[in-house]
Amino acid sequence: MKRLITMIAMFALGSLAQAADGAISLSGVWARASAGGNSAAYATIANSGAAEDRLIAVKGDVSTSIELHEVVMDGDVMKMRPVEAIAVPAGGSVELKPGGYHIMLIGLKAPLVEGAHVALTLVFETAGEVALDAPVQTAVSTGHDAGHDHSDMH
Amino acid sequence: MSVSPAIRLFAAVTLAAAATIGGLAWLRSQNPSNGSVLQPSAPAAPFVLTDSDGARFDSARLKGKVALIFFGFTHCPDVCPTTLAAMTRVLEALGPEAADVMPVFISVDPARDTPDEMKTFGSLFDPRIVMLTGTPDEIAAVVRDYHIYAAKVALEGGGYTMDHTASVQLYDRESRFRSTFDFHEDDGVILEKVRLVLARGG
Repeated sequence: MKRLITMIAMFALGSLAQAADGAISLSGVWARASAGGNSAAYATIANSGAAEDRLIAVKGDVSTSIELHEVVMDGDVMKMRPVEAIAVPAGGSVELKPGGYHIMLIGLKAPLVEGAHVALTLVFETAGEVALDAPVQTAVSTGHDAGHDHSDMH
Repeated sequence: MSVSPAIRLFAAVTLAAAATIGGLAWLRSQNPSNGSVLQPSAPAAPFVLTDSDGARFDSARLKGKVALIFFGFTHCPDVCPTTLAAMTRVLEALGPEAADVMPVFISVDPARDTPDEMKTFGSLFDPRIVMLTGTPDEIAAVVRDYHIYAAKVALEGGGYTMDHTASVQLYDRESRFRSTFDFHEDDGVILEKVRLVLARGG
C-alpha cells in the first residue's frame, strides 16, 4: 500500500513537472557553426500557458560562459547588449534570431562543426529547466534552412 | 517676344514638378529603387592593411573591382557572421560576375583580431572575402576615412564587445562610394544593388 501511494505520488509529481514544462515548446532550434571563439544559438520559444514566463538563464558546457544577448540597431550601428531575461508572453512566442535575441556562447571549448549538436538547458522562471538540442548549421545559414535555400537569389 | 517673369517661373516649376514625378515613378519601377545607387563622388581614401596570411594589402588592388567593404570583428557572434553569410550567398549567386567583385572584411578590433584569428573566422565564409586587420593606428585611420562608427563596450562578465556600423559599403570600379546594404535586406535586393553598381561601370 505504502508503495502504491509512493507510486501515485511520484506519478502526480511527474505530471506536475510535465505540466510546467509542457507550457514551453521550442522550434527552429539551431546554433551557428564557428571555428572557435564565440557563437550563438537560436530558437523560437512558444508559451501555451496562461501566464507570461521568462527565460532567465541558459546552462551548458559548450563554452566557458553562456549569456542572453540582444542586438539593437541604432541607425546603422549594431549594438549587442546582455539582457537579464527574455519574456515569453502567455499564449504567444518569442523568436531568437540573427539581428535580435540570441543565446551567446562565449569562449567555445571546441569549434562548432556543421552536423554536430549543442546541448543546452534553458532555465525559465516558471517552467523551470527545458532541454534544447541545437543542431549546428553552416555559418552561411539564415536559420530557415541549413544554408541551402538560395532560391531567391536566381 | 516677351514672356512675363511670372509665366517663366510657372513654366519652370511645372517642368520641375513633372520631372520629379516622372523620375520618382521611374525610380519606383526599379527593384531595388534606382536611388539605391548614388552619383559618384571622390574616390575613397587609400589604405594599406594586413591580410589573413600576414601579407600587406594595398587598397590600390580594389581599383577595377566593385568593392563590398564591411567592418566588424571576429568575436561578433551574430551580425558579423550573418552579414558575411549574406556576402557569401551573394558571391555564389553572382556566378562569373563575382570576378568583378572584391569583398572585404576589415576588423574594428585590432587588439584581438590577429591575421590568424581573421583566417580562422574567414574560413567559415567564402574564401574570396579578403580579411584585413592592422595596427590600432591603421585601423583608426581607415575607420575614420570610411565614416565607420566603432566603439569598445565592456561586458559585465569581463571582456568587451564592439558597437559598430553594420552596413556594407559598395564602391564602384573607381573606388567611389555608391551604395550600402545590410543583413536586414533580402538576398535578392542585395544582389540587385551589387548588380546596379556593377552595371555603372567605372
